[in-house]
Amino acid sequence: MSERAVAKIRVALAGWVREIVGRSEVEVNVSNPTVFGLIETMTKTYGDRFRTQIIDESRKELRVIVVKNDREIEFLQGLATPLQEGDRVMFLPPVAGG
Amino acid sequence: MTALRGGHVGRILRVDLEEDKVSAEGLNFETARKYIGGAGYAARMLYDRIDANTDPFDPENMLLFMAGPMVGTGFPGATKWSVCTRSPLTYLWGESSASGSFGAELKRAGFDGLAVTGSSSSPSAVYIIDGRVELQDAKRLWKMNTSSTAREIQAESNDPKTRVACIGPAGEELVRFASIVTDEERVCGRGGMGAVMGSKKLKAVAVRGSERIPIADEQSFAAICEQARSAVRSPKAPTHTLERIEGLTRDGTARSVESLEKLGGLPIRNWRNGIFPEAAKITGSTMSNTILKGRGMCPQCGIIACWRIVKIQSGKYAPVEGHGPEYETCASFGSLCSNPNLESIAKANEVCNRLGMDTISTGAAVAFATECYEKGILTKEDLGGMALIWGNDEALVKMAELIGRRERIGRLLGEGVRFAASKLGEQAERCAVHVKGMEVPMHEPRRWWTMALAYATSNRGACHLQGTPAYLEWGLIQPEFGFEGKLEPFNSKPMAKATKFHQDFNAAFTAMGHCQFTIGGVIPFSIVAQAYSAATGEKVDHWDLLRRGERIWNMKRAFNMKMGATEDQDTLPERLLQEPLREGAAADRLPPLADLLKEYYVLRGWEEGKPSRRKLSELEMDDLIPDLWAENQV
Repeated sequence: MSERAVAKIRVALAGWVREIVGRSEVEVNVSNPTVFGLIETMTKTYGDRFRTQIIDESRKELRVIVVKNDREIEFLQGLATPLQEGDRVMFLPPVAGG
Repeated sequence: MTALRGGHVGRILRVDLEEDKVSAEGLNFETARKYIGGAGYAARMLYDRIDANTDPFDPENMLLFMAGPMVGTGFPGATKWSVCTRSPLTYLWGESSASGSFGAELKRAGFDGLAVTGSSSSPSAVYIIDGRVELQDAKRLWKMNTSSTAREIQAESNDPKTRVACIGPAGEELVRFASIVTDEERVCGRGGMGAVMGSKKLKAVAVRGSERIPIADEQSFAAICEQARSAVRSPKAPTHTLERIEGLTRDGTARSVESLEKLGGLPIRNWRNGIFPEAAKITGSTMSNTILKGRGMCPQCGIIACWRIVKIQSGKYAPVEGHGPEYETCASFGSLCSNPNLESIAKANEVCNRLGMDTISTGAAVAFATECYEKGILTKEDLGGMALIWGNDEALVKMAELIGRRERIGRLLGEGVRFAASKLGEQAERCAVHVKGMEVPMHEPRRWWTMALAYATSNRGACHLQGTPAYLEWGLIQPEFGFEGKLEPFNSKPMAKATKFHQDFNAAFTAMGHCQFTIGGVIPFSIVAQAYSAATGEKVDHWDLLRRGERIWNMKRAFNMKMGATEDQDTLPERLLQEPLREGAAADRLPPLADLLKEYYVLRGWEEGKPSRRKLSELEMDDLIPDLWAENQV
């Protein structure tokens, strides 16, 4: 069996997403280094609630802002956006104005 | 001229405080049709009735309380009413809106608007009860804070449903960013509307009515209201709509603080830093978990419970009880002052609301003073012995009190940062972050380039409500108007177009009386247009309303030109235009404002920064051509 690539990703979280994880910054080792893979990995650690707060499963749409290295993944390859060692991913509640 | 058959009540109340005279004039339905009503109608009225020689504090300046055609009709979220005048902060178009029940009650009392001129020789109050109008002595209320004033009036009227809009000590003392506050603690915050009220010695306006607001087609209107509610409650509603409703209800507007900090969109340390590691301490979810005691919503909203009710019972900021700080306040008294103490922000918010001051401009004035202190421009002696260092939460609450009462350093800062800086010298002027005299609100234009253009061109100075094109960068899209996808930040391509659209859009829905939260990405504007049609009896679609919004925008611009505004005022302070942030997600970015402006003027059809003759004709505003282009007349 070939060894799968593992990437260490720095993850930043805010608001209620931070509350699910309990910290504002974590490091996650991802064996399937895409944004979707990162969410799957974090779901194993933090429970299904993490995934359901990030993705609206029925619509296959993001419920939060996901940023890879200061660029939103909507302008990259969405959930399939590849990640590599040292990347920084942020999961942020949407901005609402005030 | 055919009258509009509903929405509007059909009358404007005129009060002359100089002459102690009260009269009513019929609503001009042609003007109402062209400028919708509310702030749009007010723009036309003010343009026609005052000129550049009218100082904002002159008795001749007109102060208008306006409620647009959808206010009080029962359409969800149609709660916004506006106060308009020549602003003492910018000397240009002044407008500020608040939600709550006051606007609807004004209409039920028989009027679409109240136009106040003159100045009373002693404090007075206007009572409008079911079409009857009385000017009453208000000496007993003078010096009272806004909360006590409203309670006193309600108690005297023996009717807790009497709605009150009043000023506090800040308005009486002519703080140039004094607000008007209602009994529901809804606030017309920006631009110094409360100072103009104070200059007229008008302490309060009380309204109570039982009239039914006419609706042209009751049956259709009821069905469209239900359609609007269903559209946003449906599981088929767009994800961004559902999330907006749920998120604003759960954590309020302040929920954005933490996200914006990580995105580089939060102003920090008087616009000098790009990161604020303690943002989580002042964000909406933290408020929900700590000082929040309840949530609420405007009567007639029924969609988003954005009100925060907070309570602090112990500690150095106790007691605090009432409406909690919004996003803008958490940023202005929080990150802008490098202050991570949420309770102090709630206290400062309460101080501002009780004294009657805009929390954005007050927080900005405190941040300005803090930087001046850091640089030695202001000394400890100037500050009455206070060490106004970054993050000194006790000092900033004290500063808010001093400003609101115009005591000591508050006498200077109550002039706003532009005038204060001009008195302190050139070095201070570099610390004063404003556009046209209005302190910049809490969305970082080096991150959201649409806001750079919106701030530079807003008719009331730096403003996030006269067009919030950053909504399109945040994913609050408008597919009905061709904005089907999120705008990519730092991409200048569609930004001028997006900004123009959002300004016209906001001008339209604000004039109608809609809340930005229920319109921006929530209720489709085609449904709003149907509701307007059913209410007024005039068939329109959403494009017609957008076109009227464009007309309103140009009307306000024409007003500014009449007041002496020039194209070169469409800019940003040096700090936001030439000094990049050194850290955070917006580091090393500067908005390409010159290019954006060039494109914007073309899209607007403006020449020399003002509506061209062709544009004025296209918008059926030909009567303004001689005023704006006098030198070209044959």
